Amino acid sequence: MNPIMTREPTLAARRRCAGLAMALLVLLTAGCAAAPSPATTPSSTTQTSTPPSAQPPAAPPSPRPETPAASPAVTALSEQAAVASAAGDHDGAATLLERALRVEPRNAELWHALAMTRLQTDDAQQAEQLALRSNGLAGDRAELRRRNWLLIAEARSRRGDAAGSQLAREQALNIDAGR
Amino acid sequence: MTSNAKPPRPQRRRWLLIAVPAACVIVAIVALASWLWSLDGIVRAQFEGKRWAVPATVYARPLELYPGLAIDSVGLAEELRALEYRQVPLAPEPGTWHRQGALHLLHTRSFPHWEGAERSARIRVRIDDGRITQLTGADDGAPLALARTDAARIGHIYPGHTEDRLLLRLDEMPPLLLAALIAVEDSEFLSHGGVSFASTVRAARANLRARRVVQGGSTITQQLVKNFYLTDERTLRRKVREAAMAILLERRYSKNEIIETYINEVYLAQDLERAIHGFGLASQHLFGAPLDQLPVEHQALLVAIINGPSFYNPRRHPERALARRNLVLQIMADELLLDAAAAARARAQPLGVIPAAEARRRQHPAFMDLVQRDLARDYSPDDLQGEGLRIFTTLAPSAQAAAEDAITAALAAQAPGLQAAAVLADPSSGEVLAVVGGREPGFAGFNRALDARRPVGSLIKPAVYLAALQQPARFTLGTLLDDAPLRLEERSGRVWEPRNFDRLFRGDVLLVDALAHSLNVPTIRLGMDIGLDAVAQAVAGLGAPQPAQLFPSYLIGSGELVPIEVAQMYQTLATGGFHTPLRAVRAVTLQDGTRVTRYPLSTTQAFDPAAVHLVTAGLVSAMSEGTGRAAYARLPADLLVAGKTGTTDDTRDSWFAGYGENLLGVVWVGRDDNTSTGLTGATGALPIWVETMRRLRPRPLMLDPPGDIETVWIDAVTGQRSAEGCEGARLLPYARGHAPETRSECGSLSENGTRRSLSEWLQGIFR
Repeated sequence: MNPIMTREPTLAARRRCAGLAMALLVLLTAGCAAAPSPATTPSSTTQTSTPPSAQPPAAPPSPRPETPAASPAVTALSEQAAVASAAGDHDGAATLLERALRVEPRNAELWHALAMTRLQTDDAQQAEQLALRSNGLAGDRAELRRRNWLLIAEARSRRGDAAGSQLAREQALNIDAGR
Repeated sequence: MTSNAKPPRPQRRRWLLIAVPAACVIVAIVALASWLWSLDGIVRAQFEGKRWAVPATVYARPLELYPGLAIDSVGLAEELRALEYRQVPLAPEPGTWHRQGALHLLHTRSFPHWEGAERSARIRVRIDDGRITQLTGADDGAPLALARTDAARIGHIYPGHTEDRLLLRLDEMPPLLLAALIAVEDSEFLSHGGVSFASTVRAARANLRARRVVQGGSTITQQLVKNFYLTDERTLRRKVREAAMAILLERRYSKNEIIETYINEVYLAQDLERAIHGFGLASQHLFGAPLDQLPVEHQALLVAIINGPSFYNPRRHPERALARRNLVLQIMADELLLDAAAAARARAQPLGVIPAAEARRRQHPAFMDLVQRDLARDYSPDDLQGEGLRIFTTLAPSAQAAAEDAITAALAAQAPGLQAAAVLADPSSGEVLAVVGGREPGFAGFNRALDARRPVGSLIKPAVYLAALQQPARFTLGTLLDDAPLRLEERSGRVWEPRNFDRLFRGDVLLVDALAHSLNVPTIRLGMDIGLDAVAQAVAGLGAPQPAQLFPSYLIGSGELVPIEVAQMYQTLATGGFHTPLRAVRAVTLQDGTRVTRYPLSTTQAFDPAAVHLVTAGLVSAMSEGTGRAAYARLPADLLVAGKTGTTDDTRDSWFAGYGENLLGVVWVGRDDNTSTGLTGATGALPIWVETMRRLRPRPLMLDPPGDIETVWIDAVTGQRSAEGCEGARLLPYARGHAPETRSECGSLSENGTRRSLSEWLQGIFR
């Protein structure tokens, strides 16, 4: 077991999280663009251009056309998770997402959203693993798989693994957008 | 005194005459004082020790209700029983429920969950065919997406001692019970100073008249002091000591403190080796209900048995207990605690005691053991003390009940020495849902689920095949393995000639069949081919410990594991290769809800998903046509599960491990003295696993292949590429690009239609 001892995040840590989340938002938005070229994909500069008073962090993704419809229970929990995440309570969001995953353990979007919360609480290792797990369940949902690879790229770059990050980014780009 | 005429000697004697007794008195006073002082020390230490050890409270996971949840009325009743809900028409207050056919009306209690409070709600749950089909608010009829019950209290953790208690504060004690207690046991409690001579005399007289002890002369304070000792010695010296200690106790502590300790300390019953102390636990033990829900006659019975918990044991001596209970009701009426009509009504009631076996159902010692061990990694015993921590676990009461019932029922028909253990888990999250440590699940003893280290037999084989299938260029499900006699010479010169369970040799067999039919000889060949180290690495990757030394016999399960380690291995298989540590605790908070620790889900990819997918496909074949096929005599045909039997030499151990989409179970059956059971994995452990699954109805495996899996028709004899419709053609999943190229004669004629969807493959195995 890997306990998380609860502690009050410092203001600086919160700012960093918010900044990171903003960068991710940018990153993901780029990832969702139809045909991202290397030039438009943001590099792994996560903490530079984002002002500390950033917008609320990226909420767990809203349902997308290619996503199978979640049950009302899962929808309710992910909405609550989005609210918690927006308020900066990423651990609370993770808790809600874990509840949702007990209802739908094969919901790849939930695994992705959980990976996102781990990235936002500075657990890059788990962020990557959870994104891999999301990918394992994503089937042929190209858009979700791309988001997962971009998240993995981000997680690796945060752990100082530039080469691994680059590989993940290439994986993201190689996913056929048409599928 | 001043006269010099008197001789000095007598004077000295006179002085001595005063001095000696004075010294004696002083010595006696000092001795008495130091005796009292030492007694006072004992009193304080004992009393504080009893009183201030606020235990950690342990909770089951709350039940999350949502449309689609697989739960039947029996399972729901188990959950509500653990929550101590009462069945009352209309479910008028929190903690009550009512069932009318498929409709279940629940009135949940508000509850401070670790991640936030849940308000009390009245909800209507419709269950059809083992599934929630409708969930609505009972008052407005509005559909609900999700509802959550409170969490059942499943036990306490006391530092220092293992006795269980359900501690009650004085204000939680029903006033009538308190009044009855004082009226019957110590009517002068509020006025005496620890001992009461009047009542001692009265008791002595009554006992003399009856020529046996019918009345205890001890005050409540004295009875409490008596509890400080472990033995029940009856000497005058002890009586005097106790009386002195009772007086000291009264001087130090208030009446409220004394009676509060008494109600939690008093010995009331014995359950096998477990002493039942305190009204809270006794209420649960005798009536299966919390104290504040007891009717008058049950309260009276609790007071009645204080006088002689063994003599008035209501299960063993119901007539005596009933007579004494009615005497207590009489005293209550005489003291005007009850009006005559109510007393008469109560007297007409039966004892209402539940059977001991049912009371033990509420105990989950094996699961609690796991919780304590998990917590021990992060907390010292002292951390758990004095804090009143709240521990939120993953126990699912309905799963625990299903596993316990399956084991109890299966072993009831077997010889008495046979034992069993089971672990149930949610593979995706790694949450442990149930742990059964022996054939008497309520009895805390040797916890076989955690401590019975036994050879695992064929349960190890999936690791051998996983190690092989990780090399897709060399091994596929369609690879032919050699099942011909094998002779192995060990370094010591000893010769080992392994055999299959049925002692037959089949020549060439497909790899998938060798796994599904659990053939020893081709498995050993395969393992020797890829290397023992590769197999041991796969075992480690799956999350089980590796053996210190590796022998070829390890390949067919000479290595020993405890059931929960097996569960961890199969957890990793069940999630496509993502190792997720099994957890029994979700979070720990302080009494006021402040979160101390959370144990989040964590996961690590340990294997290539394609290789694990192929192993699961093999284990699905084992269930549909291999060693586990007996399961489908009892399981619905559409419940796709993967599983593996395990049997060790001389049928000493009977194992089964298997999983559906959201439920994993490991069952072991064997004997503590490690002698033969006469049971194989399929005849001993499998029926218990099947019965558990049948009750809990897991979701069937989806078996969506990862992106790099394709299914192709092959020839079952040659392993060559074949085609649909060809004789002996079989559909098997392959890692993409590794399906056989060489075509059989029939296969080369029909180029098209060789690739089939997975559902067709599934239909194939259920043909």
